[in-house]
Amino acid sequence: MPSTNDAPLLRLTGVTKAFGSQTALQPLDLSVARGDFLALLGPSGCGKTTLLRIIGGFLSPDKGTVEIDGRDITAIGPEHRPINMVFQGYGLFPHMTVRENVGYGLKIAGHARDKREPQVNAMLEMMHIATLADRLPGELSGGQQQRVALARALVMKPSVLLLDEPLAALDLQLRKSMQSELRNLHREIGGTFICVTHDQSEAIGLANRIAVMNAGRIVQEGTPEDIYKRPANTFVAGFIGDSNILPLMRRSGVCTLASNSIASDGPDAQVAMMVRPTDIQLSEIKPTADICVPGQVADIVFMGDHVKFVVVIETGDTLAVHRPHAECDTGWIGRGVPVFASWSRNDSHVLDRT
Amino acid sequence: MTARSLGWSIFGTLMVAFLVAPLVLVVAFSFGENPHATLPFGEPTLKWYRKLFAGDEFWNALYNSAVITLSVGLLSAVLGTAAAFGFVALGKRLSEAGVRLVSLPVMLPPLVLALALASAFSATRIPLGFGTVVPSHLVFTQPFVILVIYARLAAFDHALFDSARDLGASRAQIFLTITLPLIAPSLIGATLLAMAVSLDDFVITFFTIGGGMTFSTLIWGMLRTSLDPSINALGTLVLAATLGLSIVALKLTNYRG
Repeated sequence: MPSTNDAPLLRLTGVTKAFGSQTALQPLDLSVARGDFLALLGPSGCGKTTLLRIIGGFLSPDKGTVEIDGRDITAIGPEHRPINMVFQGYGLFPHMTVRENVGYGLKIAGHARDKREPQVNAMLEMMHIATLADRLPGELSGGQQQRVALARALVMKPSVLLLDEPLAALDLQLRKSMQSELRNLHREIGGTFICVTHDQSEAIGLANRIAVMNAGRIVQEGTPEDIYKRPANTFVAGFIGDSNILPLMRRSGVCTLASNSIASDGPDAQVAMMVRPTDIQLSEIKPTADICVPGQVADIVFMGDHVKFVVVIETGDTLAVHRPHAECDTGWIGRGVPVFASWSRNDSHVLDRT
Repeated sequence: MTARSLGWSIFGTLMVAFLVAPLVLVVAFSFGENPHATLPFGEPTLKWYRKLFAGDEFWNALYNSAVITLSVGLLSAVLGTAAAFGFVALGKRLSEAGVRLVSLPVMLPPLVLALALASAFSATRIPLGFGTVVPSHLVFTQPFVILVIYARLAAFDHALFDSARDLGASRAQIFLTITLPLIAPSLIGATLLAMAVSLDDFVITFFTIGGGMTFSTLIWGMLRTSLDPSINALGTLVLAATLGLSIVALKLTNYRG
């Protein structure tokens, strides 16, 4: 391992990409530290896959540079980058056994059979696929294929491992177990992983850093907690977790919501207040709270681990409120009942509208 | 069995008999003593084969047919594969139009195609011979290879090539280690099919070969001079070769109907 300095392992500077007249990436900077597990999260068409393919070398940026360990690799093809990728759909070679698939990169690199066999075996052991070594990919389940794809990339000891929607092809149960396995793997080998996903729960469950992308830009980058608790704008707030977004006007540093005045620094503008459904209290009599809005229960939905109340507040906006079952059993609350919805200023954020 | 289904069974059997009987007769007469190729067959004998093998004409035709069939097979494989790669690279709409265009000669009446080729060679004063027969055959054998390989390549998961590249393979290495092994069965099958079609062809060969004889033009020549069962012997050999090539080809390409 070279240098223990703080310089990022991977650095993208001013990277842009357009396909014809379609802009896929706006000028974009990104730094990834050694040992990070970064998730590129965004809706389809946001440019996250384009960004991943630029890092992998499968696309070259129109402008900007890609550096790894301080070395400019912008002009270097994927076959010469110290980066490996696990493709969506895995791209396993159907005519080669699991062992041959995993050994392919080492063989191409010119390692003799007796030199590569121990490495291949160790990797098969680590991914728990040693017993499948002589099978063909067509004889494996989706989860097993994914392990082979991971083993095939990791045996190359890449500086950065790229994962394109790694769990998308798996069913729900398997996705959950592979998710924790991927986390463990990352911890065990201490590598640097970058994964692309459109699934916010996957990003939160896998990564220690998330870059939320929209329309070819990174709109916010930070830890999952940062992004969940302090979303930068209404797009991020709406994309990560459930949230209520109430449009407001800010005039002379004050926003008004029903009879509440909320101090908010910034120029006069259309803004929005974001509050998570779990952070809202419902009460029969007016409580003392930072923010309190009268309304009426429009619907009550049993959601399994909680109950969802749909409340239409005085401003005409609709709030989703998640409460534990116990609160529903107290009797006073029901469909059509007037309520006070309240929350603390700390649990809500005034955001720029996007 | 009802009367109706019995009726259909008889009809079907008759149809098959009608189609197969001439072939069976060709083969049967080739092994019979009767020199007029008429019933009865006479004693079983190999003398017509012996007669056939005794003449220079047969060996010349064998040599010519072998040269043409093998050249056509090899060139169809190489050029057809290259063309299929080119078409795949063109993108869906252009490539489908292109594949259709190169398949046209298969649908043209052979006589028209033969006439067109012969006129073209005469207009450009290219002397007739192997140099004209082989390219003429390619016109209608190549589409088989192009169609089969194009369909195979178009169905490829692109992540295969990306993965191989990602793992360090050059373009040549990707072709040799991934693409070629995966298309090999289709390619061999399509090539054998092209060879079978080439070996069978009479009309286009006749119009474009000039002097020499192949199996098919030899049969035609023999029909005009003699009518003894050595023609049947030759016919049987061509039939066996064509069927053999086709069976192997269909097996390899997994052709189903």
